[in-house]
Amino acid sequence: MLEVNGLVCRFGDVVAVDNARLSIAGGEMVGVIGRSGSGKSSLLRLINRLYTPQAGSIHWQGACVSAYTGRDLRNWRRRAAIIFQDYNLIPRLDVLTNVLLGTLATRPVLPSLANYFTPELRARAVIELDRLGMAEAAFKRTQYLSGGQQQRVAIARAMVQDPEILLADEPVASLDPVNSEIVMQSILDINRSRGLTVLINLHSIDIARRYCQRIIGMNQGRIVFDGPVSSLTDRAVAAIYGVTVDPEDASSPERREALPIMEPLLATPAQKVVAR
Amino acid sequence: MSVSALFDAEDRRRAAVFEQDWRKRRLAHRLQNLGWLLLVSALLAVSLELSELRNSSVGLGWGERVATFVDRMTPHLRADALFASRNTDGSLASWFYDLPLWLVAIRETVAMAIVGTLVGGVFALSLSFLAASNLNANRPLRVLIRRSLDAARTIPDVILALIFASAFSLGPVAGVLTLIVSTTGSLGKLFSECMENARIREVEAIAATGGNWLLQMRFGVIPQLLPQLVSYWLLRLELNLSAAAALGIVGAGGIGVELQRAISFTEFDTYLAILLLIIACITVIDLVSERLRHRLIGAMA
Amino acid sequence: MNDTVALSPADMIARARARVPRAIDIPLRERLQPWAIATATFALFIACCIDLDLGPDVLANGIGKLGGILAAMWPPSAGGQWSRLLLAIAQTLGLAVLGTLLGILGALPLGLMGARNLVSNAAIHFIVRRMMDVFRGIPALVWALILVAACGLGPLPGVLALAFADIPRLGKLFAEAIESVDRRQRESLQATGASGSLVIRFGMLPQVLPVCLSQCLYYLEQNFRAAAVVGVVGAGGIGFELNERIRIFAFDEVALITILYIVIVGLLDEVSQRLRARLI
Ligand SMILES: Nc1ncnc2c1ncn2[C@@H]1O[C@H](COP(=O)(O)OP(=O)(O)OP(=O)(O)O)[C@@H](O)[C@H]1O
Ligand SMILES: [Mg+2]
Repeated sequence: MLEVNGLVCRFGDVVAVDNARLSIAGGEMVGVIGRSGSGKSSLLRLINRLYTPQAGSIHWQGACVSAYTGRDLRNWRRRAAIIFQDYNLIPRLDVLTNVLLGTLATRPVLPSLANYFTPELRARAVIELDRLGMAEAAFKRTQYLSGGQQQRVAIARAMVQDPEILLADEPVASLDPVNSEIVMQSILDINRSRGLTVLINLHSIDIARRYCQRIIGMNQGRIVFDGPVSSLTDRAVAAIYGVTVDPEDASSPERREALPIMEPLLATPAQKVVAR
Repeated sequence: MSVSALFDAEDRRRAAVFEQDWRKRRLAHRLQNLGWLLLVSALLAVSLELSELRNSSVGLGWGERVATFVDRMTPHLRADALFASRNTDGSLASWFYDLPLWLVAIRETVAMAIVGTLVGGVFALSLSFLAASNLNANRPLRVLIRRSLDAARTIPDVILALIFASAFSLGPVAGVLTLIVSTTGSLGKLFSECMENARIREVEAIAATGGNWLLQMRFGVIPQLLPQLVSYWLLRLELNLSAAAALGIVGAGGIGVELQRAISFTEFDTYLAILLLIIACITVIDLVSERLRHRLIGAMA
Repeated sequence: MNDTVALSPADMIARARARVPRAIDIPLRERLQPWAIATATFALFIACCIDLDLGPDVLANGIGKLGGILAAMWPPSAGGQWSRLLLAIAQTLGLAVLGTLLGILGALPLGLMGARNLVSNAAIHFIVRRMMDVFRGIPALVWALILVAACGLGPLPGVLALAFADIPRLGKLFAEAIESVDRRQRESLQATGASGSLVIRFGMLPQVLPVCLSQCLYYLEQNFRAAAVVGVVGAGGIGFELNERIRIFAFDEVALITILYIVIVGLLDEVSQRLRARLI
């Protein structure tokens, strides 16, 4: 159970997250949508504690994780695994080592510094890679992999962290449709088979509708929508994105079919198809 | 119809304005050039005056002096005795009469350079993480380290060597310490500049898995910068080799001591012999290090 | 929750071994390689230290004395010789300026000859480049030592030493700057029928000059340091003064001169950086 209360995060004059409040039950798969700069990434980074909130609190299973420091903080970051849009792998290291970096927080520092990992840890990394269909690439350098493959390595890295919640920051925004499908399906599988809570930022409303049970909409740092996927009407989407739509048009049920036409308009320029 | 009829008064006025402007610019440009010329020649005159070059012994039997000097510097080899023993005048062996000793001294110089570059490199690497503004948020500490690196780089190594020699007595130890300090200074600055240009995403990725600061540096920074760091380090090794040779001249051990000795006994041909030896050594190291650099970077890229 | 946890470690290892054997049974060579490199480096380090008689006792002994020296540096003092010190600094600056200018003059022809796009004769080009590579390694101090022996004490050997040390380095830089000139600009001028010298004046100079000037400024700055160094072996200036004071253990004066020196280098650095920023 994740509970966020009155969370505020500012960068200079910019209020990235403004008084956010939400509560997520264990095992849910929740999509976060909103236009570029609305604070989706900041919200995820605040939960993982890569950013420090100026106000408000974050509780996980009743414990106040926003007050953690030092070892507790690092351990929380391990429990709240995050995957990024740009994969954030280490290009010069091979796939296996990249996955093993997910275990850093749970073991003594010295062997890690010497790049030594026990056979047990390596076995876990291989098994996680195998589940995502990446075992064959274990000794390739990550810089030579396609985007979809890199994102699966990043997911494997998150999985060896043995996380309690998975935060995904636009995991498919840099991928082509086929790879998007594979990656989204992997995340869904993880959510279903392991009962892992997933909070996922998405640019594509279509994908959000297909994979998530619940949607959170953000606009200018505020949470402006929170409800089951069925309640995400076109009017709601328009409100989240701050686009005014002809009211009678938007309320009519046939508009749903017309929505894909709207989608390129709603997506930001950052969304691009990478064909490799 | 005359040509001037093609242009009306307005055109002509515009042309006049343009020409005036152009003249002005040309004048400004010329004045600027003249200014530079004056400045440089003034600087030159002042330098000549200050350095007291004018009242030095130029002109007093100058040509003769150089001639005798060159004569004493060239070895008097004889073709027939070239490969004879050390005791025969005119043999190569008598020119390089103390070769075994010099080779030991060169070994000492190389050892100085290796220890200085290794230890200085380790210091520089550790400090550069703390001197990079994107990796160390503690501003006072960062500024303190940067200033210290600047100072270590600025003080001429020979002066450092003299100071170290008064504490550690003359010899290679003073030289090694000097090299450590100057290497820490110069590599520390280069390394920290590299690090300020490092991609922060990889560091963030390690932080996000729960790795502490050391691990963030180990896996987030070092792998992405390794080729640059290694090639700077190898370049520094080359530079330190010639620096180590020079430091010996003020008594800080190694082959430089032999150079100094040759001069004080006015054995100028010996000086030339040792100099050739140093050049050969530097050239070899240059080639090896270039190979190594290309191979390492090729292997790592 | 996570089903890998349900597996026993032995089962996990067996499963992974079946899938990717090399991840579990890392080849011996691969496992030993980092240790071998580390051990070799460490052994080299120790061997060098032994060769240099550099042990902990030597260090401990000297560090105690060094502490004494550092203590003696406070408070810095001019020893009542401010005017003399300032003159010495000015003299060192003069040495640096003259040395750099002479170096530039010497380096120019070499740079031109070493540039592949100006001199088509491969032999000349090769020989000039190789010579510059060979002499690049000789520091100013080594030149100063022999030149002092040749021309006697005084600023002349200092200036010459700086110039000799700079010529091969600057020459190489000039040659590289000329080689990196954009060919199209030159060719478009040639196409207009301009003569050789005109091509150089308008097709190459505008591109080469700023780069070379900025290098020269950098060398001027470096030569201020080198000028202090050659002073130590008898070329006068600040190096001479420092050497003298270190030899008589007047470390408070050494401290003052060093501080003065650092300040001046800082100023010079600032000025040259501004100028270079404007040039490029
Ligand atoms: N580290 C930071 N430093 C300064 N400003 C930041 C930082 N991170 C985010 N911001 C600002 O906070 C606001 C919200 O950014 P955020 O990245 O959370 O938006 P987003 O919804 O993820 O956008 P996108 O869809 O483009 O990824 C933006 O105005 C951004 O400029
Ligand atoms: Mg974002």
